[in-house]
Amino acid sequence: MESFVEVFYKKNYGDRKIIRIKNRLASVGLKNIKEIIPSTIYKISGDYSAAQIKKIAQNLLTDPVLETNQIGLSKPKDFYKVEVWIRDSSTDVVGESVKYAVAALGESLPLGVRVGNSFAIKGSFTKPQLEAAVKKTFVNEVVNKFTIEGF
Amino acid sequence: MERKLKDFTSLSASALCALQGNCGWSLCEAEMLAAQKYFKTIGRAPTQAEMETVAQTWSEHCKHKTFNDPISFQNGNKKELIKEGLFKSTVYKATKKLNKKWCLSVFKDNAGVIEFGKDKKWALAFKAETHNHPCAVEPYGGAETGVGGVVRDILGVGLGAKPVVNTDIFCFAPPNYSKKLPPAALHPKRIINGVIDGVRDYGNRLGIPTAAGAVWYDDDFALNPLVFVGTIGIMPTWAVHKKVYPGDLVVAIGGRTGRDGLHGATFSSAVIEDASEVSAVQIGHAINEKKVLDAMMKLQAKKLYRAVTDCGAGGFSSAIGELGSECGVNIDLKKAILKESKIQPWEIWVSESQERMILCVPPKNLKAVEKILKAEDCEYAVLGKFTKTNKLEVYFGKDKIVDLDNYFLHGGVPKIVRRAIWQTPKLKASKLNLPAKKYGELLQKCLANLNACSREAIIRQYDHEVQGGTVVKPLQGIKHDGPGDASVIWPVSATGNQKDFNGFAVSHGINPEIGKSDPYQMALNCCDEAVRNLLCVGADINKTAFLDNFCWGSPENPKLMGALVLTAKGCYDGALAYGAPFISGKDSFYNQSKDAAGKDLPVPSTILISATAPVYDVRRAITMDLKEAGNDLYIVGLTKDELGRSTAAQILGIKDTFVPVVDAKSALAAYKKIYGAMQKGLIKTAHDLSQGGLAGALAEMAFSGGLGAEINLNALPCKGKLSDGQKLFSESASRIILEASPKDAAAISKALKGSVFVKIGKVSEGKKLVVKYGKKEIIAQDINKLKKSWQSTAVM
Repeated sequence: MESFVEVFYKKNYGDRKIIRIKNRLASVGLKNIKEIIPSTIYKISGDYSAAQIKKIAQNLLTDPVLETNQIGLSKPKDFYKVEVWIRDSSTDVVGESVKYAVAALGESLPLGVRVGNSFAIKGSFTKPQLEAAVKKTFVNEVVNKFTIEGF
Repeated sequence: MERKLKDFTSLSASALCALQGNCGWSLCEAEMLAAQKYFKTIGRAPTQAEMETVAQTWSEHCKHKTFNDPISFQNGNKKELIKEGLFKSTVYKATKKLNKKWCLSVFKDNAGVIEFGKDKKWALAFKAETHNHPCAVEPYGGAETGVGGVVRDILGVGLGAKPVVNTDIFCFAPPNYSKKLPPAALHPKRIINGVIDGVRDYGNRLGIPTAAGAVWYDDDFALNPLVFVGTIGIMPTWAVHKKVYPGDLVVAIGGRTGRDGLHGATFSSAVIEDASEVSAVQIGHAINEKKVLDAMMKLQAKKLYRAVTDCGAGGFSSAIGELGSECGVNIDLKKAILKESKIQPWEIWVSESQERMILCVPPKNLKAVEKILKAEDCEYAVLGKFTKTNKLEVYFGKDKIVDLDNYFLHGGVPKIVRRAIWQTPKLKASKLNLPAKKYGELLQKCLANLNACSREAIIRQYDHEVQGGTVVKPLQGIKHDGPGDASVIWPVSATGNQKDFNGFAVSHGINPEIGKSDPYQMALNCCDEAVRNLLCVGADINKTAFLDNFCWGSPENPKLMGALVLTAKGCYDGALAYGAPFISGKDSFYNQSKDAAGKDLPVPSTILISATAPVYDVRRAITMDLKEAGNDLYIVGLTKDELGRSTAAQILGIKDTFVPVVDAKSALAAYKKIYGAMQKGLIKTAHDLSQGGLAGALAEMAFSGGLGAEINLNALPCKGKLSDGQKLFSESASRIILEASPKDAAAISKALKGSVFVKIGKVSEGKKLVVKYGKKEIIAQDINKLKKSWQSTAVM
């Protein structure tokens, strides 16, 4: 069974990350960006109850001062959502560390954990334009796979 | 493929070549035929694991064939046959000839090892590696695993050294590169950012300071960046040598084995094409390596193993094969700890999964070893034992998948005579006569040039303070942002002795631009620059040790081979002239790709000389920033008409003029005198003249110290009659600016007597760099403005 936990910055705490994403996309020609909501997605494979996933999300994956989380994946309205993952054939180093941290938290060892970088983005551009910009900045298809959803 | 291997001994030469091409073994026809001959002799076909083992062991990466094979060299009309190969006739020959007693282990282990400190208690191990091909394909992962690999080299030298400093030297195309790229290529800006992020994330997490480096920019690095990563470690002298004993256990520790990193060694021995294998790219796991590092240090201190090596290119096949090359080894891959279950036995054997080391453990020590590994949360597996059979025997459960004789595996690679050609380009005298007002402008442009400007944006990303021993830091001066010549490290974290102030300096010399005109002088200039940089921080250059890293295009190209021969000869002469043995080195070939028009684009032929020398009291190390108004400024060394390939020449479009020619004998004599003056406490500041020449060096010293300087070129020691522009911007080698107190003028004159030197001016209170010739003012620039120019260029 797979569970998803999405971790977001609280308001006003993720500004630097937002600026960085914006600048990188702008550097390859994607202008007119109105809003960006960055997040980190954890895909946890294993037999866990909703309460256990909530505990893992709260006690391990989220910094309570800076961050907030939701169980399952967000789908913000009027946004494109970009998800960038390390290909399954490559080792996900952060995922590996999280896997053993879950066990250290007292839960059973997950079958696997993969970590994805994600951002929701709104602006005056088309999906192909966004896709082209993402490919030139956040994705190296040698090691990454990615999806763009929305609209 | 199994069917083709069954027919292996009867395949034609062309079928053998087709087979190796399909399998990605990067072996040539002669090598395939040699393998076929061996299997014919033993009367059977090879298994896939055996051919993979041969391909890894005979790869350019592991066997350094270009440096070991004979070369037929034609330099103009002069012909020469280098029978012994370049390695034995140049870098190794110089080390052998110099025969320095303080060299403890050279060219036979994972790193070079020299004495360190007093009482012969400690040794220093130094290794610099390249990770070019992986960084071209996946810059972040490539750089990470480059750092991880070279750190493991230090953990795997002798019985293991504690890493105390990392170095990073990069060659990139400019971040604003605008030429068309082929479809599969990443833009240089992405490569630059990815590489820097990778070095940062891996090095910082390991708790090793990254404190010495350089960056060189040239359009021709667009498709193939060069990423040199180095590590210095400290070890007790009793741990310098290793020995494998038959009966000892083969213990693999650290990371698990997966399908990542397959064919890394053969990948780095081939030209990168669009379809470069995904599995050749790996992602590093710094936390796993830290566990290995911590466990290794405890195991070493208790002397629980008798030999160790890291799993680098070729993975188990290379590491276990090398350790067992003088006795024999028998292992069972079923015992390996795996990342995934679907992996084939031959894949386990050649996988280059990261963060793995192989220990040679006496059976009686196994329990104690296990206890420490468990305490450090470091996974391990006992794979087998070393034998007396002189054979490499590998099983997967009951199936024997490799059964090869050591004589064939390690001595069976055929020698091929390589062809090298060089035609020296015609160079001419330069002309640089600008109106006086224009020199200030040119100075600003030189300082802002990508190959001269501030690297602070990169350096600040690295933790260069961790371990608390970085005495002279990469950024120097009153605001800690000036360009240091070298770093000085006090390895107290390894020795644990806070009353012992012995340290060492680490520096580099790199200038592929000079190599475009004169590869021989490129090597000599790099040797000279590395020594000069060590001297400028107060290191004892009488005990300099060099490392070489050659990065070239295809060795099948005779012109590139010609440049390689001349560079290696330059290294030989440089080592002898400076009395500095090469203690370790590495080569990387096939750094070339097809550009957007389908034409081969090799990297500029590049030699990196890394150097280290002792600093006997780190408290007396010297930096490059001006210290006090009123002090005298001296220049040591001769300025010549050598604007060729200089920063100013590139800005002004001056082409085909004389490049710097090194007079190493005079240089070393002067350096020794300067070192003597430093020992007497006469020198307050020292800075070498490199990019931007005299004007560039003066500006850097002034704005780093927050002080001005008044210079007069009247008495500048020159060869022949030079224009003001040539005096200011020529990049002649072997020149250093020194700052000293006026009260020591007589002592300075006495100390430097016999070398070419002159007082050229004074440090001033004002914030201006003023350069005059007689009464004529040539440059009058605000130092803050100069600093702004130097800091304004985006390097990433």
